[in-house]
This record gives sequence, C-alpha cells and structure tokens, in this order.
Amino acid sequence: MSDALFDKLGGEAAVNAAVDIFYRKVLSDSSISHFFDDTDMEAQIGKQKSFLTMAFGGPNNYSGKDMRAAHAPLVEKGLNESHFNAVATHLSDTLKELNVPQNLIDEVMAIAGSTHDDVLGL
Amino acid sequence: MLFNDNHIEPLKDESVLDALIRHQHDVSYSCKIGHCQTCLLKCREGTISQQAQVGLKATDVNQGFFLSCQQPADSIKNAEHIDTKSLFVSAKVIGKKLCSKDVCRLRLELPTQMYYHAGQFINLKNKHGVSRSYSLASVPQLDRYLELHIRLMENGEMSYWIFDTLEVGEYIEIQGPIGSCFYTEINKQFNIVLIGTGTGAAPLYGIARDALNAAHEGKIIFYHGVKHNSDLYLDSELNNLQLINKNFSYEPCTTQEINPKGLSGRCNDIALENITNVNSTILYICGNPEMVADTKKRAYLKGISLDKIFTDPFDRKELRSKKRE
Repeated sequence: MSDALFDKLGGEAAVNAAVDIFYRKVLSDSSISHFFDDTDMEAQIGKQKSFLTMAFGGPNNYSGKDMRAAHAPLVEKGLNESHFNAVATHLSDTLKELNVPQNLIDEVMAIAGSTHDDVLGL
Repeated sequence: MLFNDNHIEPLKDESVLDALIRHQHDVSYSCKIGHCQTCLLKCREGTISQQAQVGLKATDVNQGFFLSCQQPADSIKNAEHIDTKSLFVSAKVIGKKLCSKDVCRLRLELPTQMYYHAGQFINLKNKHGVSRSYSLASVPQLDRYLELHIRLMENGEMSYWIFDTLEVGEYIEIQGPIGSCFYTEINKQFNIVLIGTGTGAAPLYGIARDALNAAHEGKIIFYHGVKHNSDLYLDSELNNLQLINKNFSYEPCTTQEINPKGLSGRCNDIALENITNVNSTILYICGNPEMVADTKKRAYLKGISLDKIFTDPFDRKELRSKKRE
C-alpha cells in the first residue's frame, strides 16, 4: 500500500518538489525555526528529504529507534506537542499547495502522525 | 584511542581534534567546522565517519585521511599525523603591497602550475607552523601568480607575521586548492550576485574575473560591504572592471560613513532587496561567517534554491579555541 502511495504522489520528483516549499515554511515559522536552523542547510535539506520520502510512503531506512534518537537532543531543548503539530500543518499545507488530492494528503498525514511518540520521546 | 602511539582517553561525543587539544598534543587546526582541511590526520585503525571526509580528494580518502574536527573520537582506534611534506608545497613571495590600512595583497609563485578555480582557498603555513586559510583572488587563465588578500586581524598570528616579517623573495608553504565556491559555466544567462564583506571580496574578485573571462552572458553585480570608504581596497580594480565590461557593475556599500559614489547600509541587505528574479540568479557570499549564514538563509527563504548559492565563510581560529556547539 505504501509503495502505491509513493507512486500516486509522483515518487522522488514529488519529494523534490515538496522539500523546498516545506523547508521554507518551517524555517519561516518562528515558533519552530530554531529546531531547524542549522548552519549546514544542505544537511538539513537532506534530512527533510528523508522525512518526506518516509511520509510519502517511499523507500526509507527509518526505524522508530532512529527517529527517537535523532529527536532526543531536540526534546531536551523543549520540543513538544505544539511544535509537532506546527510541522504537521506545514506538511499538509505544502501538499495542498502542490494540489495533492485530499485522500492522499490524509494517507501522508497518517504516516507522519505515526512518528508522534518517537519524535517526542514518549 | 592511540595517537602517534600515545594513549588518548576521549570524552563522550568528543571529536578526535578536541581530544587531542585537551591532551595538549601539537595539532594544526583552523576553522573547526570541517572546511579548511588544516586538521587532517591519517587513520590507522577504526571507522571514519562520512562527514569527516566531505570535500577531500579521492587520493586523500584512499589513504585514510580524515578531518579530525568532524570525526567522533570513539570510533577511531589508532590515528597519526600526516607527513605534511605530501600536502604542502613551497611558494615564492613575488609581491606584497598594502592596499588599505589593514589589507595587504600577497602574490605567490609556484615552481609548477597549480590547477585551481578562482574563489577556492589555500592554506598557508609559516616557519612557526602556524596555518591559516586564504581565498584565491587570482584566476588561473589570466594570472601567472596566486593572489591572496590578507587582512590584519587583532592578535592574528599569521596576519601579523605576513605584515611584519614576510618579505618578497622569501618562501612560504601552501596546501590546496580546497573549496567549492567558484564559477561554473552551467548557467551563463543567469545573473550573478556577489556579496562580500571585508576581504570576502578576494574570492569574489577572482570569481567575477573568471566569469567575465568565460564570456558570462548574464549580469554580474559585485556588492562589497565595509565600514569606511577607506576600507574599499579594491575600488580602482572594480571600477576598472565596470568600465570595460558592460554586464559588470560594482556597488560599494559602507555602513559607518556616507560614500558619495556608493550605497549606504549593509551590503547583504541591499543585495537581497535588489534581487528580482530568484529563478535566474546565482549567489556567491563570502566573508564574515554570521553574515554568510544569515544571507544564505534569507536568500533561500526569498526563493533561491540552495544549489544556486555558493559560500565561503571566513571562520577565525581566534574564536575557535572553545569547543563548537
């Protein structure tokens, strides 16, 4: 089912189209930008690409454990529910901007939502 | 970890370089952000992480060289100094000229040709073993020498030595070229916007002349940001370029006094404001590291894609004695 979603969205090309829109939204949002404000912007874009690929149901190597470990330093800095929701909103807005049909957006949001506990270290 | 056969006990999350500094080993380093390649070491045994080999030549990777500032110490079991003779060559100083109160232009000659792009940088090492990075303002197709613009830094070990001690006719050790902030002919119709503070103008001067020499078709706009009019040390050179090239314009920007022939304000603010077509603009940003990071981010948010933004942040070792966050 996941592969089907990734193909329906347009595969890697869709990730490439979405990543700049998504990352610009996140960086422009002062309530969360400090979690993403890295001097190495190329590395940050790489991370956002991996995340989007996963959320789009594409091939990825993410495990819940990796997710948890990667976000642990951010949780220490105060990452919480409101930040998670803000990122989710930017993701859904990005997809709307790209005219992705609502049923596919729902599928993407479900995958993104499944990372909730690992991201917040719950 | 063993280093040159001495036992080192690294702390949690410590880099190889920080562990060696803490154990008072005599190691060279400069930027501490994996850029300058001054802190290269050779791994005898252990696992080198990917980020510790970013930007290295394939031949260096094959020999197990790694950037010790980017390498977690816990995955290296045994490392050693690199025989620096293999990294450095001797260059003769053939010109030294004061261009403003605190900038001097150094011209170097090599026994054999060096293949480089204008805008890349080299590391200089003096007799006392002090090593620092300087960007190349020369263009290999146009100049027979390497040109560097040295800014006298407060308590700058290398810059004071160059200003006070180094003389024409003497030799200095150089390593390089390094870096990926240079002109390519891929988008010849695009406008090129060059933003440089202080001696950040050096690599940009090379890049601008390289692009003009390659008959770049889009506009090339050079924003040089300084505090005072007297800091515009490339004024006559850049005015000349403007005179002889229709598509080149020079915009001197001063923050502390009015320039009758230039603009008042921060060069990055002015440049970003004047960018109209984000889809056909290439940006080069060099100089003060905070300015570079800030301008890069704002340019990206304005809509310029990251692969069209090239940067050369001038990190200073004087600020690097503490561990980086």
